Order: sequence, then C-alpha cells, then structure tokens
Amino acid sequence: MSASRSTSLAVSINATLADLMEQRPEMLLLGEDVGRLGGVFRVTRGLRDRFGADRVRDSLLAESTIVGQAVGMAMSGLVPVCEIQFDGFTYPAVNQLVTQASRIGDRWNGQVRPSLVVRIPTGGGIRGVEHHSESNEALFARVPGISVACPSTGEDADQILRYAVTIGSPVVVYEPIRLYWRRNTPARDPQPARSATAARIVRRGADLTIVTYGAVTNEVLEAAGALATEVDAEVVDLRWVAPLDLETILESVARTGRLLIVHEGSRDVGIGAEIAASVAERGFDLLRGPVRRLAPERRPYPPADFEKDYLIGVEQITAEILGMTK
Amino acid sequence: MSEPLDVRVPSFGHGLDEALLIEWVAAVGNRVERGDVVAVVETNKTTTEIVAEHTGRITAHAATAGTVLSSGAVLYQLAAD
Amino acid sequence: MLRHMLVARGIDEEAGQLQKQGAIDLWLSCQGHEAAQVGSALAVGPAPTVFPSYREHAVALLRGVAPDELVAQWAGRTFCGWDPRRLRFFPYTLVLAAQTLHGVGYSIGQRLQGREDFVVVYIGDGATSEGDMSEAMNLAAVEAASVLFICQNNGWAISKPAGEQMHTSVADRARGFGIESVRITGQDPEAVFAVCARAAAHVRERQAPFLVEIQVERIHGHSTSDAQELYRSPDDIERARATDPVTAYAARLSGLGLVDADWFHLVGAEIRDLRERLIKEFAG
Repeated sequence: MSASRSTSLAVSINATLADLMEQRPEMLLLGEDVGRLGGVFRVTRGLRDRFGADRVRDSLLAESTIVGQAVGMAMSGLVPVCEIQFDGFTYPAVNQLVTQASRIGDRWNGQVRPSLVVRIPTGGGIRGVEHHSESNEALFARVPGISVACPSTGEDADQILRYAVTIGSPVVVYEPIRLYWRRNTPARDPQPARSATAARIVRRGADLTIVTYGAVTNEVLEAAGALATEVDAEVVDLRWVAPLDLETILESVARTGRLLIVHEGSRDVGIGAEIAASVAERGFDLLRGPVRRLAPERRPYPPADFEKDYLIGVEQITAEILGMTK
Repeated sequence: MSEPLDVRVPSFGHGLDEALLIEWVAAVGNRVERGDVVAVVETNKTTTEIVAEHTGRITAHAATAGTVLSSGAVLYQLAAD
Repeated sequence: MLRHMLVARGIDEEAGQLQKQGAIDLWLSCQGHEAAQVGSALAVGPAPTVFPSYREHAVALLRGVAPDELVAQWAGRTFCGWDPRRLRFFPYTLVLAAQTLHGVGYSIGQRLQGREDFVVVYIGDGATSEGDMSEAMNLAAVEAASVLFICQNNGWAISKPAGEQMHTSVADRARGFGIESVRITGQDPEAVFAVCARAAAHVRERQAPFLVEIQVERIHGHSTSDAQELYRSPDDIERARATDPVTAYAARLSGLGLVDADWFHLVGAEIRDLRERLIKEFAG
C-alpha cells in the first residue's frame, strides 16, 4: 500500500497560524500554555516569540474564562483563536460556547458577527489518562450557530482554519492528537474538496461509500487499501460535521449504492445517526442495502490498557466492508 | 554474567513514537546505575533523556547519533549486574 | 437625577401593568434599584461600555434606550431591541454572570487595540454565585483590566436570601481576588454617585478593576412570574416599600425646595406621554 510522508499535522497547523497572524493583525491566540511552552502539543511553538505575549496569550487555567473573554474580545473586533488543552476539558467552556458565542450574532441582530475559533485536541489511541482521549464533536454539532470541523490532514486543517477566522460565527476545530506527529499516513486522492466547507473524497471507488472523519479516516483508508482487490470502496472524509456536506455523501451513495459510516465518537445519537437518517430521507432509493454504522458503543472512554477494544480498528472496518459487500 | 539485555526505545506519550537521537551519554563499556542518563533524544515536543532501566554495563549501541528512533525498537544492549 | 429615577419608575410600572394585561410576556422590575442605577450610570458618564445583567432598566433609559426598545425583548419581538454599539449599552444577558467574562475580555480587547477600555459590568447578588463571576474577577485582577463591577445586592436570589447565599459580602470577596472594593447602601443617588465617581476615577487612574456593592431593596418579585408573598413576610415587603429610593429622594428635593409642584407636573406629563406610547406600541 502506498503511503505519503508529509509535514505533520502539528507543524502544518503551526505554519497556518503563523501565516494568519502575519496577515491579520486582529487575530490573537489564547489558551493554556500556548505561549511560553508552545502548547502541550507544541502546536503554537515559537509564535509567542514571533508575535509577542499580547497576541499569543497564556490564559488562566479556566476554560470558561478562555471562551468567555474571547467572546468579549470578538465584540471588540478581534479574532481570537482559542486552544482547549484536551477534548475532555472542554466542558467548563460549554456554557460560554453554547449560550453565548453561538448566539451573539442573533442577540446583536447581526451587528456583531464574532469570528471566534476554538481548537480542541481530540481523540484516543495515545494511552491518555482519564479525560485525555475523548471525542465530543457531536455535542457541538447539535448547537445551531456553531460550526464544527474535524480535519485529519495538515492541508485540510490549513484550509479550514483560513476559512474559520473569516465567517463571523464560532467554529470549533477538532485536531486528532494521534495525528499531530504522525508522518506516515495512507495516500489520499489528490483532488481537493469543492470548497472550504465541503467533504473530500479521499479514495475513489464503486462498490461502497464509507463516510468518516478525523483520525480514523486513516484506518478506513488502510482497510479499503487492504481489500482493494476484492472491494472497490470510496472513502469520504467529511472534514466538517456541522454543517454536514450531504450533497457529497448523496452523490457518492448514488454511485455505490451502499453506505458505511465510521467514527471515533460514540455511536448513539452521534454524527453517524444524523447521516443515516438524512440519507434515508433523501436517498433511500439509492441504497442497495441497509446503512451501517461503526463507532464505539455508548460507554466512557476506558483506561489506556483497554482503548484498543474501544477504538474502531482496521480489522473491524475490513470485516464490516466484507459483510456489506458479500 | 547473564546474557546482555535488549533495551528498547520507550514510548514518549501522547502518540509520540519517534525521536531523534542527539547523543549517547553512556558509551559502550560504561557502567550505569538505574536512572542514569544513557542518551539524549529530541521528540517533536521537546528534548528528553533516556535513562537506564537496569544497573549494569552497556555492551552495544544499536543506533548512531542523528538517526530517528522508533518506540519499541532495540536501542542498546546491557549486561545487567 | 430625580427625573431619571421617576422616568425609570414610570416605565417600570407601565411594563408591569402591560404584563398583567397580557400585552408583554415577562417583566423584571427594577423598582428599588433606581438610585443605585441612576447614581452609578451618571457617575461613570457616557464613555464606558456597559455590560448589563437584565434588570438595569434605569441605566438603559439613561444611555438612550427608548422605552419601546427596552420592552421589545420582553414582548417576544427580539433578543435585543436597541443598538448596543451606538449606545455602548450591550444586550441584556439572561444566563447569569456570562456577561462578566465578556466585559473583561472586551476591555482587554479594547486596550490591545488602543481604544477606550473602560467597561462597567452590572451584576446581581444571586449571580455572584456563578463561577463565571469569580473567574471574571480573577481575570480582571490579573490582567489589570479597566472594569468597574457594580453589584446591586437586593438581598434575594429569587427566593433565596443573601444570608443563605454567601458568608462574606461581595465586596469582601472582590478583595480576596485583589480587587479594591466598597460596600454602600443604595437609597441615596447622590451618595451612590459620589462613591461610583471615585470608583471610576480609580479604574481610570490605576488601570485596575474596582467593585462597588450597592445594597438595595427589591420592592417587587424577581420577575412578574415570581410570587414573593410565598417566601417573604408581609412586614419585610412593607419595609422594602418604605425605603423606596424614588419617593425618598423626591421628598428630600422637595423639602430642600429644589423641585416644586410645577416641576413634578412637567415630569409627570413627560412620563404619562412615554407610558401612553408604550401602551400604543404593545397594547394598541
């Protein structure tokens, strides 16, 4: 199987943030340890030296403070790009995101359009301790007024961040921790997405559509590659889970007639449920078989010794593909 | 004296499974106590030390400075006391 | 000052009346808070940006919010009836204390851009129990943000009395965060004005936050959906009414000969006109 060795996700995001900071004087970075340390994942390494402590701000260790003050900064015309240290520490900021950031535009009758980005390192497979391996993107996907992106490559993260700082409403960007430093990833179809908000077809195929996003996109590509002689699978990397690019999904399902959805966030009331329901409503006649979902069951993320049982692996995906196409 | 042990490159946490070997601090033939610095490596996040897991004498290095180490690969051999 | 207090009282009474008629959905009365609101708002002047909670009607009117703009959100027409940017009076925030962090962040943002960074954050005693208030005080302290916190303590978080909400005053709590503070009674608008003017000078000169806790009486329930008779004794409610800052200040200025019957007649006519316009707008 071919693989590409490219710039890592962390290095790529660092370069994008640096470039945006250069271009946009109203932008600033705000988060725990993002300045002196460069963030726990070093994604903001070197940026404080380059842009100064006013624009690369080490925040207090309080997530509501981070997002709450960012809302105020956005009201003053700045574009704050916040970092939450780990996905599982997002919850203290949920009130400020859900009841405030997402609603400011409406409350101000459009007079303020806050461009505000919250970057959240996400996902497991890194032997994290409790709360350090979660995937809570479906939580914000349910909130009107918040856009939710889940890039799985540096190239996608670059396009998404450049778009996110311009749209005048909050964007939560989930960055897969286990891809931050990974350089060997399965090759992807080079054709770019139709737009900054569109899904991207990362593998062309005719027998089955697999819709996925985030770190597990790589496992899906590995599984599809391993079965290439038996099944010709098409893989759609959503890149955004809110709003969803249903058009790309439906067009793909129209070609293949089969749909499998794979994600790392837990299955119940998850992103896959929304996709399955939407395809059933709008594309039922396109389907040759039932839509299937492959995602962890509804239980807390386990201690690291058990995470392999929790996460969706290549073998499970392979088995599911074979089951659906045999 | 027992057979030399294969000592492997540790995991560096949070999905970091590679590091650049900067230098060997403990040369072949050196005796090390558990906890002594054996080598200095640089991960994508930081510079860190690899410390001896056992007390004994280092009998071989399995990599040279400047190479990229992968977690789980053999790093050096040690004849434990 | 008396005129502002009387106008606020008149609008508040009319909104309460319209709610009883079913013409608006909910009203949160500011009766008893007028001296605190008018005194503080005049003391800081028009330059600072105000982050209100949701009961600062007298401040809103003083900043130029028209009565119908003030009432519109309580009649289900909008989430904010006025132009927040032009009036530098930002929208009411109904999730308790969320605006405190916005206020501090706004002040920091303004300072970073070299613009007027003086912010006034209003909050009630009940909302100070929210974590965001503590976070905002700490953030303001460590960032030396130009934020004046004005806490109107009316003694009640809906039905929970202040004595069961906190074991120190809000002013004491602010000092624990390294914010200088003062606690005063809020019956006399001139006293409130004097203290808030000094507080504003502190914020401007020292570029540091300050907190003024103003003890007021809540004459009506928390909202028109509240029934304070269920948890407050008739004597306590009567006592609150007896300390009404509007009637007390009117009597005092009359006694000093600073206002006369003609003045009251003129202001009364102005208020009647405003009330009639509200009736036409919402019950017409």
